[in-house]
Amino acid sequence: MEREGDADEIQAQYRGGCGTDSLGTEDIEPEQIPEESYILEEGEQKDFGENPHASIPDNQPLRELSTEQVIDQLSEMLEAYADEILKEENLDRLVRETGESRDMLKFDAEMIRQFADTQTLKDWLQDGNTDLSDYIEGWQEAQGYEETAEPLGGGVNINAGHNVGAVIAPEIWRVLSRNAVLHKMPSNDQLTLRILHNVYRKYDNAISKTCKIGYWPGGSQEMEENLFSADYVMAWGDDSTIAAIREKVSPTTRFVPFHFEFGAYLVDEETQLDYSEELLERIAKDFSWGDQLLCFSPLVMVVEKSDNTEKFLEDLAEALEKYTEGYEMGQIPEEDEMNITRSKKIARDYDNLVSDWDNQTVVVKHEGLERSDIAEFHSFRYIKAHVVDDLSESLKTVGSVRNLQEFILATTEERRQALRDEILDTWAKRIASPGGAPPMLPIPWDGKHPVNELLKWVTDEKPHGN
Amino acid sequence: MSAYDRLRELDTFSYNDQIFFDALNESLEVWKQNDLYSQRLENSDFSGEVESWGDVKKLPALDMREFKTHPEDLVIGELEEDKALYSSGTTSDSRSFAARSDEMLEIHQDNLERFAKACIGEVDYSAGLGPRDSMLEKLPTKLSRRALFNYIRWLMDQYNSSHNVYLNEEGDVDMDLEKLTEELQNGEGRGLFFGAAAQVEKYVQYLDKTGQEVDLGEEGLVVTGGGWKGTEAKSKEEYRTMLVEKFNIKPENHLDFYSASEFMFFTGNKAGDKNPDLKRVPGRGYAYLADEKVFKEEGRVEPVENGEEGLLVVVDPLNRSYPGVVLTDDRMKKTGGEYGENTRLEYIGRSTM
Repeated sequence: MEREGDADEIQAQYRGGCGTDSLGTEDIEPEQIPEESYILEEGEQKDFGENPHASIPDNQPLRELSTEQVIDQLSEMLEAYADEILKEENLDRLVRETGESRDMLKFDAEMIRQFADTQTLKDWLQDGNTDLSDYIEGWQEAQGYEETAEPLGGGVNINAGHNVGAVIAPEIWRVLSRNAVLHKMPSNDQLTLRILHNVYRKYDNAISKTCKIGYWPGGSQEMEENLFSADYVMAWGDDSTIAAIREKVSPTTRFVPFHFEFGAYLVDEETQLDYSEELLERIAKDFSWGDQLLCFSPLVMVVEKSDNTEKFLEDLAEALEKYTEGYEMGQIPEEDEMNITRSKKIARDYDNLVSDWDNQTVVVKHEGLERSDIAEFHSFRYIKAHVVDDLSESLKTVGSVRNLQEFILATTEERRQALRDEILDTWAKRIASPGGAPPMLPIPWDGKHPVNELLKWVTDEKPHGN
Repeated sequence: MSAYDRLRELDTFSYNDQIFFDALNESLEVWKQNDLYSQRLENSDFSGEVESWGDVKKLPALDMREFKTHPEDLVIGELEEDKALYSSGTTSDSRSFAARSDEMLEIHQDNLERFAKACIGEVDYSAGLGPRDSMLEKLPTKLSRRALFNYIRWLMDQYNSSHNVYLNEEGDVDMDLEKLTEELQNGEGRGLFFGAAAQVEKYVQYLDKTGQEVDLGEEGLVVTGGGWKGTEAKSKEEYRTMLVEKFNIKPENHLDFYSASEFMFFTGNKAGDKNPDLKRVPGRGYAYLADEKVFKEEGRVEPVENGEEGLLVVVDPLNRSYPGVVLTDDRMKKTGGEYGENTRLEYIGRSTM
């Protein structure tokens, strides 16, 4: 092809391919809104209007507040939410709805109180060394230009549920970034966010005015295409759920997905030769939090072969079981129960079951680690310890999985320093220590700074040459 | 003639307890060549000889999942991966495979052909959705040796149907539905159409989209297999109604075959059976159900009474590639007696989903 011909064709494609025609579908009213759909208004379930998109609130009330005012209001409402969770009637209902135990719910409520701390809320606004609140509140000087951060506007948050902590984090982010939201409850937890709605009803402020909570059956094509033309869509779920949602999100809508992620433990030889009860307890805590269902939950353990591996794993099994005394397990769904039993039985048949059969928790060992071993996991306090000769090789195997969030290193400091450079070549976004599986603020969440993800950056570029 | 050969020769829906027990005893001697199974037999309550159905139920069962986690430990003889059959849908994981020698592959195919003949009877024409040789040659072994692909191909060869699924130029799976429709529309008399349940459903959607119709004749049949994974219909009843309407068949002429790569016999309903959801078990195989609660709590297989639901355990005396007693993931209900013409299995669901 001649260059001139190329140029004409390319230009024609480029011009023709871009236009100002809206790609959004917010004005396309769905022909049918599923019967089960509703939006919460004053504690009651009401129908969505003909155009569900109109249910997304306006974020203007939040934009009028300073950072300090936002944080003060949010802190008060989070405390109120934690109080509400801990009411007996709500604890009972949440145990039934979410499957979490009372211990787990109380722990979640405590975590919300920690989030409610005003300094903690300020920490959410840190992106590395950058204080996002400076940019949200006005123009900041950069190199040769000025910059400010603006909220996106109003958006939709899909499927945050099952765990009080998972529900409240996106609410915090959208408030701090001054965005309005319509939260969609997952079909199997229409309670956790409902409790939030009931708390918000008691307040007449910018935060309550910019939040709506509703439900519609997932996969409602027309309704979701209408709603997913919002300014942003945040979504939670396994990879196939996220893929399905992504397909319906308008190309000009900011999409912030939280897909399946997991953590991986690495235990070196030296640690197994000299460890404390405290270390075992910290490992047990990491595997127990949220019943191992959370995005940072370790689902794999790789143990470097040592003379003491057997003993280490036995002691770990004991610590894991002991941890249930203060942090009771939640309900295990039937099909997961069967899956776990099958794996446990096979482990027992091949002399690989480390924990006692009758324990609630499970520790099994397995020789070696192959990629296919990471295709299937168990949650609910199940540790599959892969005993390997070469920790570095196994690190690469686990690290090749894109869903990996963090490596948790139970190693000497020297080994840690050596491994961390190797970890840079993997998909891990964090390197943690025992007890540190969940990210401690202001560490990025799932490798993201979510508040920043919900902002748009506007630059005022000075004239060239000035 | 050995009991094993007599069991092989048994008509599909013929039953003989003694031949079954004797064949099982003969195969047990082969299964003991597997060290793992030999050890499990020693540790079990099994006395050493099968003389009753109670004895059969004492035989230790392999867990279907062991075919994924420890396939090398289960095989008797050589493990030839290019002759193995890979699981398609049970765990959706093609790491799960069952080794087969040439002889076992032959018996397995023979099992299907006999079962199909006994359930389907004679037909005047047939067509199915199954992969062509040229397609399978391009796929890696684990895909080309998928059990379901091979079962469909065996049926196609048996009924002399052409293969309508292939890989297109881009390497994607494509179905020649135009050709398939032409074959079905041109047929006269009693027609047979078969394929995996999800693919059959896609074909129905194609017919809807193109406004075409297919009539398989008054006694026409549709045979599906491979489980319900990937189907959009909300229930078996909805699925069957779709077939009845689209192919103009009677409900009792929707046959659904159930099997798994880990065992070598097939179950399913026979054309005309009053309740198409009740599956017959051929004489060369045996099935019982294990108490789910006991299994979950103690990790052992405890048989339930007939009429109760439980986890399916199959006993497959003709299988000599590995010990043929397998605990599956499937929840069933067994009625109509221990073993015989009236025995039926009703599929309830997967215990792990």
